[in-house]
Amino acid sequence: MNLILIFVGGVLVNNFVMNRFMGICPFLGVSKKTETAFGMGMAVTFVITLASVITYFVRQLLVSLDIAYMQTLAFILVIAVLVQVVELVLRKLSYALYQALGVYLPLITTNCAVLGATILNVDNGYNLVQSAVNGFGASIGFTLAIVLFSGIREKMELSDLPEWMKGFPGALIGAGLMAVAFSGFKGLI
Amino acid sequence: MRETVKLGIRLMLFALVAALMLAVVNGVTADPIAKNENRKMNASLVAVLGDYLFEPLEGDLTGYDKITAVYAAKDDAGATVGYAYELSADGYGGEIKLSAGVRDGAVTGVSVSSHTETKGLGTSAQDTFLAAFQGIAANPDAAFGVDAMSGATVSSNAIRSAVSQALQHANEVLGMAGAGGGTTPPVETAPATEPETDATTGATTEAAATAETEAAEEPAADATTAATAATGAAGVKEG
Amino acid sequence: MDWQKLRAAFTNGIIQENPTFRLVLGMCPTLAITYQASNGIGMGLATTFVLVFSNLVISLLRKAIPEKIRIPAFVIIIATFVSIVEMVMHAYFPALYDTLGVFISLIVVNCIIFARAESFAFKNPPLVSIMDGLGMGIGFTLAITLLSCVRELLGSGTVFGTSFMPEWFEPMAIAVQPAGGFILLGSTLAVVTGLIARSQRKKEAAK
Repeated sequence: MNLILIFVGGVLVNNFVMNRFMGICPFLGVSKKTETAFGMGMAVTFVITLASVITYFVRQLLVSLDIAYMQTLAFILVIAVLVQVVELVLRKLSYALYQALGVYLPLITTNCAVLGATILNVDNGYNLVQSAVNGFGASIGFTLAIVLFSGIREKMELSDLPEWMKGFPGALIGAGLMAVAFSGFKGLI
Repeated sequence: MRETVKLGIRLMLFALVAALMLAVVNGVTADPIAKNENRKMNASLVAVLGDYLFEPLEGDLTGYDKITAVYAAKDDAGATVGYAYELSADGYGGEIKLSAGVRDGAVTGVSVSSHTETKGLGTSAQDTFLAAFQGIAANPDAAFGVDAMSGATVSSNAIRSAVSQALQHANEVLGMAGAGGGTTPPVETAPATEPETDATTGATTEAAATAETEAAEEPAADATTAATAATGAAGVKEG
Repeated sequence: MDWQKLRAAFTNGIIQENPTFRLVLGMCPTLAITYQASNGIGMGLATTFVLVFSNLVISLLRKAIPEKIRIPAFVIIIATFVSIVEMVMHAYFPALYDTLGVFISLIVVNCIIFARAESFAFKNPPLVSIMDGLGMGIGFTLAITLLSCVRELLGSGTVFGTSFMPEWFEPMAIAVQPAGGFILLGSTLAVVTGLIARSQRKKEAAK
């Protein structure tokens, strides 16, 4: 399977947020400001790509021991550990970003996109390189979606919405319109 | 350091208990799961040929990388009625599992049994596409004569080349005569089929009439459209 | 046996702190699988199962789980029950399993379960934790089933597979697609928020 197809697929045609509905919680939660959104995107990219590689080997191990049903448990533990590592690294490297992401950093563990990407790697039968590319594409797609969305939300903050539209309702409808735009990518490949 | 070790051990304990619980549940559910997967796989064979007994055919499949298994369809008398192929195609997003049936020198149907999917457009497009395989001659090039689904070129190509390989096997290994002529079973004109079968345009109305009356004889085609409608609930991945 | 408290915990999850409409948690499955009403019920019940049991176990073990490793411990417990649901569904409800697909596994990262584990089950006794889990689960099930009915009705003209719309109704395919999911959820939230704001204003005025 062409690696470029997998990558472009993850970013545009089957964007993890806009088409596959994964990573919605942080998508809605961290998209108020573009800098935080971008920082979150980068952290997620790091985690997903690494997780894709590690879980590939974990899966091989589980299958060889005939305990494939432990997959969900094993994968999520790997992800939880990875997120802890990212937290520690970020704290040392960029305390400002660490502060800005706040409680959302540990929440990457519960980001459906991370676990989702790793499970989809297995379901699609990707080899190591394909898994890594798929994970990378997924996270770039996530970053793209969340950054674009933060731009929209920043604008929305400045406009005068009726009370019942403020906050999540307006944000969701905005996201819906974005999704319409993204669905235009179908048939790109 | 000691505290970390103690915490680590406690965590491992939890994990161990969890693993045990899962092992128990797995023991209970492994059998039904295997049966379900099996039923799903055979369902795809029934969908393309009809309700026959499917016996796997042993044989060397080197060179046929898209074929995962070949089955002989046997009726109650034990006579081989046709052949069913379990195929695996490299679709856009991953593996597409499909099946194809051949009988009397023509394809009886193609059915997709699994694919990795997001809910999308074009379910009817998939039904149309798959239905267009019915009745085409069982020679490898004929598979590529079927028009692709628009917006799903990769998926369409994947399916076509898988079917083509199956037909190649049918010709070379099973010795099935697949040239344009031969006994072409009555073409079941599915609602929005591409005019692939224009070669028999003159006889289409007759064929349609005979197809109606011989509906009982074509359980495969009916089952295919029904099965593809069911499996097509999520449509083939659009490239 | 404090029945009042138990009842309060239960109804809290359904109304006051409905996870979907009020807490805005668990959005991933809400948007992804609600294109069909049967999905809504299936996913809701699976999630409720996990919620109830993980709440129960975490509450029972709350003295035995050290604070520092509570997150990994929660993960292990929740993942175990999700795996159990996965296997049981695969074995006995294969059709539902195929439809819900990867989102069954994703129940493990459903924010609702984590949030309740952290904020409730870890700090409360087992019985009331069960009620909380049950309430949240049923609240979630009701919410997503409602949403699925709307989306299925608009997008395919059916509810639970039976046709409801008149002949001339042309289904709006977008309702069952991602974009429609966002928009309909947003609209539903808007309606709910508006209604609540209005009733609150009435209460203020009545004082």
